[in-house]
Amino acid sequence: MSEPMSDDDMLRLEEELRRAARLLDPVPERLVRQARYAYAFHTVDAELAELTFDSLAPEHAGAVRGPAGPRLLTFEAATLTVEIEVDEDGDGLRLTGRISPPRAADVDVRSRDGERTVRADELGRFACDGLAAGPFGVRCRTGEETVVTDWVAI
Amino acid sequence: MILLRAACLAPYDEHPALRTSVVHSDSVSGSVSDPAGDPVGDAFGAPAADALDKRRAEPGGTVSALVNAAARGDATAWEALVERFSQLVWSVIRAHRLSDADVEDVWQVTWFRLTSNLHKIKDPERVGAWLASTARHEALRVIRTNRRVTPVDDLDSVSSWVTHHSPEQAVLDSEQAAAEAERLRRLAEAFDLMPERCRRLLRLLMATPPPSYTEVSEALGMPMGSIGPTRARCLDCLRKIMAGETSKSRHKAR
Repeated sequence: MSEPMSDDDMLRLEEELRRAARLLDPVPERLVRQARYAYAFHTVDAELAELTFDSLAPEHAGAVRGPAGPRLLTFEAATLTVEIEVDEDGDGLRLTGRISPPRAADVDVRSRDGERTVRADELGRFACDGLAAGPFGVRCRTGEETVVTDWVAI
Repeated sequence: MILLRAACLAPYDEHPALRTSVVHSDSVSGSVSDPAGDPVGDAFGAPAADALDKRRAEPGGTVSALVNAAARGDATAWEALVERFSQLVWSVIRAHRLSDADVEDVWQVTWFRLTSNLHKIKDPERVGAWLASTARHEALRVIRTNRRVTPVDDLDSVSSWVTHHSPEQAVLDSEQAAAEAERLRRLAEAFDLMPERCRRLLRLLMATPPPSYTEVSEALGMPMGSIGPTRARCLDCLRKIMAGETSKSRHKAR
């Protein structure tokens, strides 16, 4: 029966594993670049609208339609709420959104491909299609404030 | 292939705030980037005595300084955060079995979320734990979503923790290339034979610099008190597999 490992032995083996990970499973440089570029989405002094409802979350799984139905998302900031419905559209994803309390705004729709700006009308309604699946977020600029939703994967 | 080696050595930005905090491994802190971004100097050796104390906390305030600076618009601080925590986030993701596409989604959502949350993190010094927790939740969400639409048995698309780099390619320029490659291969194979729980924990601990116990706890949803004993059991398990002391070693544990 072999003796238990000393602390030194364990640290040495761990360090060997660490080196193996660096050699055999490093972070792909492409992903590191993406992480660096993500900072382009940072807006100083923007308010964060947190995700408060996601129809895909397990606690809502029974209440709404399954994966084939639209995805419903609600983001809440102190001064405004953004509700978004995401649908399959044949050519990508389509999103329909509403800002409340209702007001006009410039809405920057963000995905991994970059940013596209659409206009929300005085009722706070906006839409965007041809969106790629993946990381998704929205920035609303009302003129008085800027609100950024938290990111989700759609 | 040379490009892969460059990525492997994960050079750390020489951001002033980071210089004193990367003390865990001589072989990493000794890697410096030249202007082209390729690492200069390849210091794979035994870790310095400092590195053995991997539970040492960061010098006070360096990480929170970076988080606060990045929140205020300092792009260099952001880049330093990416360099500092890339391997941690990567190892959290790699501790879960995800397809290549899902790996990328989880990675991106994690970092994008940090850009929105820089000013909201309750304890900026522990942003590593925040990143670990975020990556874990995203990975679990993806796994749950996939289970609903894909048969659980469909694991062909799931990449193992070891990607397409072979041990031989990885140690190309080493003087003792053959012996090292052999050792590396045996280590990788033995790793894959460990129980899932051990692979997850050790994959986490394999990040450079090694994660704090808080980060490990957040990454795996594991109570901090059980990390030490589990680590010891798993390293012992790995040692035994490599020494051929267990009959489990003849069958792949999937």
